[in-house]
Amino acid sequence: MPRIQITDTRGLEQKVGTGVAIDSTIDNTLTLNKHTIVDASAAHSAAGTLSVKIDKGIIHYPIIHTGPAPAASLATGTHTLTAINLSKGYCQILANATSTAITMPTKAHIIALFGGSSNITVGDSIEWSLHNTVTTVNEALVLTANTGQTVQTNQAIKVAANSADNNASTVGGSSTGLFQTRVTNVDGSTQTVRLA
Amino acid sequence: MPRVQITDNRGLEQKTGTGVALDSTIDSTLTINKHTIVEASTAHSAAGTLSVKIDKGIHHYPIIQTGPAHAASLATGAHTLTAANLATGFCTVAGNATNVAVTMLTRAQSILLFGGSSNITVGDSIVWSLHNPGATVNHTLVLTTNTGAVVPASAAGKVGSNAANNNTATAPGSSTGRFQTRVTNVDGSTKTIRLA
Repeated sequence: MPRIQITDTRGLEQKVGTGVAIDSTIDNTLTLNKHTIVDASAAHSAAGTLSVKIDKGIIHYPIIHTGPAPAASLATGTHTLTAINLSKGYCQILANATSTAITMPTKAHIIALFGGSSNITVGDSIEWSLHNTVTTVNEALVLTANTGQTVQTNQAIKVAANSADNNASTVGGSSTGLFQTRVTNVDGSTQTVRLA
Repeated sequence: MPRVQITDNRGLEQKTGTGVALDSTIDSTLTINKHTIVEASTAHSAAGTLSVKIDKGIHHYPIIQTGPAHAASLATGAHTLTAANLATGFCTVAGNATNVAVTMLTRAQSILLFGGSSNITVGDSIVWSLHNPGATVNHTLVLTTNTGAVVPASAAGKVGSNAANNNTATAPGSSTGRFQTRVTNVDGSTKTIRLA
């Protein structure tokens, strides 16, 4: 089976071996400056066996991500999230009541968020954080459903204030929740779960 | 030094410049439909210097990921995790007692999870979440070791229930823990730490 490699002296050439590879041993850039998919959906993968790996070597862990600065506080009190809000990956809101509703985006915003109607795909998901900047201890944010947007219940959707509880000797919440929002229908419906 | 680019009207062509690159300015897909490694382990990396970057531009932060729907609750009460459980990245187990053991998977299941014996590699890791939907406030899950599987001790291994604590006005717990499980031996041994 043909393989190709790009070398610094001979350009694009066939490589001996099986499978398909793009190999290089010098600094590399894969630049795909439009809606871009790295597709390793592995028609041959089996349930319960992971088949996709990003190999950074065993020396270092994080991947550097290039992205925007976190937006300033989106609101004081209730707020409905937008595609732009979630595209930052980090949303800050100042609660001003014991249960301040943070409503998920509309279906139209979800479609925009996931690349527009020509790109949104069932199974696509993103991870994002919700931070509560208030310093009044009992003023929590509560992630709230919108049409087509399913969220969890009880503690899993509450993000506590960034304040110590004087009635407890322990350090409680982190004032930030990590969520995953996954497309369940190309009409912009999603299911959101709390990851941490 | 040769570079190549793919255009929408001229196909694959050489590009002027240095380094090795595969460039495109149109909608792009890199499709590799079997066990897939994006390898950037770069022989030139040095300890303390990150060498892998995913550049999504400065407008957007999260990466869209395509994945399976979350499984329904795996058990009410004690449960031993499987490769199929962790492969979804999100495990739901309902606590039904004060300390409910959620046991890490066997080494054979770890090997399966990380792509089988021909693919599992020391240093490979996954990040996953454990959610406790239990509605009784003190019914906690406790991540528990299995042969060759090291887990965190004390509070770092516990996931509280999805219930409010009536003794406090705050909403501290999220009922979900975020863990990283890393292969320490190709025999399927792992070490798990709490990320959040």
